[in-house]
Amino acid sequence: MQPLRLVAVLSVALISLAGLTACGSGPTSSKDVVEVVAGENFWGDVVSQVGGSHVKVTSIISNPDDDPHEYESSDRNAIAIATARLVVRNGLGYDDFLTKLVSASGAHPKVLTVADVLGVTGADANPHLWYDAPWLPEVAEAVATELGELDPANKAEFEANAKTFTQSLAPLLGVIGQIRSQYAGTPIAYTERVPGYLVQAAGLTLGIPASFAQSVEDGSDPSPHDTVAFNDAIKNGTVKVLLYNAQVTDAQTTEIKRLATDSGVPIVGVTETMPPSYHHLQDWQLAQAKALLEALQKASR
Amino acid sequence: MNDIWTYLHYPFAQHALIAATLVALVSGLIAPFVAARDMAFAVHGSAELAFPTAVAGLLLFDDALTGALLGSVLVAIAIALLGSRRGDGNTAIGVILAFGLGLGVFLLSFYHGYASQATNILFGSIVAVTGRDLAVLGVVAAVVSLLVLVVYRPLFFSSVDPEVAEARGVPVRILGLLFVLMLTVTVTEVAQVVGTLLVLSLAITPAAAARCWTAAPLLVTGLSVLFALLAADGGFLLSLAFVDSGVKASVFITFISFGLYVVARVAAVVRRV
Repeated sequence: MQPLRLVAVLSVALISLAGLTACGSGPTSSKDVVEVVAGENFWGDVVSQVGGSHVKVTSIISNPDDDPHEYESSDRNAIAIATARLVVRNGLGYDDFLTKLVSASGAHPKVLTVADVLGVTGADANPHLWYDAPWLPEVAEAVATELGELDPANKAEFEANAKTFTQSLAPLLGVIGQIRSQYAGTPIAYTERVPGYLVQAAGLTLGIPASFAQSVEDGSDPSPHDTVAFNDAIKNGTVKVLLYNAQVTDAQTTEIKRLATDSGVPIVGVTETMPPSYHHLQDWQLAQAKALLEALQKASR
Repeated sequence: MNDIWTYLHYPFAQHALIAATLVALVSGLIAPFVAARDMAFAVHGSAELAFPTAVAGLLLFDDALTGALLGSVLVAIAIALLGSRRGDGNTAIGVILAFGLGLGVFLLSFYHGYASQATNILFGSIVAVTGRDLAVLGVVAAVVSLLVLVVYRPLFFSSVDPEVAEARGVPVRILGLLFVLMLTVTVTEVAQVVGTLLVLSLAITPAAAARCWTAAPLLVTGLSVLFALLAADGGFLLSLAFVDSGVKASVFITFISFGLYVVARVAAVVRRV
């Protein structure tokens, strides 16, 4: 019976440990503030900018070091969703875990799906919608509409904030316009479709097989044919700039980066999630667009 | 204690606690057989093989859970057939695992969604357990527990000493197949609902700890279930207590599970001295 007694002691110890540590802070919810959960920190930032002091935003994926592909929900996020009145998600399969978290929470928050707002659908659609600067105003307006329904007293303020957000995109759109006017049609390469919409908006073309990026995204090895085509494009300088996902890299993309350095092809690192060093989506995107412009200037020198 | 109590009012926390209990119950029940038959690799293999079968399920029925359930039956038959000779088992599982993962990557190329997120759809998380998941878990737990109770004695006999059991007329091969079937169904369904990490720490470690305390079969099973329950429920409650740290429940569950094992090993050494 000795082992059983020890088990009993252990369980009592465990339970009391749980009890002792439970005296932390409790769930803080204020009735005046609209609690919002965003799947990713960049959409969370848009909600914060539109909602101002009338919202409390929790972003689930916020650390660029977290691999968004191997995400496991924490209790904190589950609690945030259980108390949220609005959930903003990217859609296109990028954050399907949110759907599951919402249905498990037993709560019924309003759900705003960015892909639906922008009307992006279809098989294998590029989910990295936050790189699509010209369309970001639509997202801010949709957020303002949703927040206005949840908090009608501050409707006008939300709409004004959305306008301010749209105006603040001017420098970013300026840089993109400059790339378009000077370098439209220039072939570039990327290892993943992360900056796909930026490349499109800037009028650049993809100088490597699209299926290469698709394979990297799917977590499988690109085919030998695609790999050879990619390497040749960089070695022969048929692509002028290499954009790579600085957040999720593997041996193959690291090798391509090295090849680009050796071949004198300028490299631009982009991230999937907004790094903590940036306060706002537009600042982050502006820095990346500027880096792309500088790389193109360097390549054409 | 106040805070945990507040959190437990949320449906997700109640679902998680029920799921943890069901998973611990069924994992703790089969764990002693896993240990006796030296089949830890089968647990790992089935958990990983939930990936290709779930992708197949997504493609065929638009439902990962159904695919995993049907797939686990196929996996069980393959393991039992290819690894029927004693000592062959792990190699056969390795062969099936390698092929299965390749098949999963192949199947994924037909899945037109944001594919690197497919793994997100496939593997669950203890705080994202829906009512439907609970129903599936409940049925699996009930069926497996019932089966274990019915065949408990011959299964234990054939697990510990298959030669003697066979000589005494125990249907060792059929029991072997039945057990692999229970194992793969449990492991794949549990991986779907709460994630792979939890299966590994609940279907292997509790029995390893229990076996350090006693050799009596019934007592090993009882302790194994108890340890699994302590780890699963205790781990989830601790994750609620430390909610501000953002540390995931699976971390606490694996730590408690391993802690119980370390205590058992140390105690075993101390008693021998």
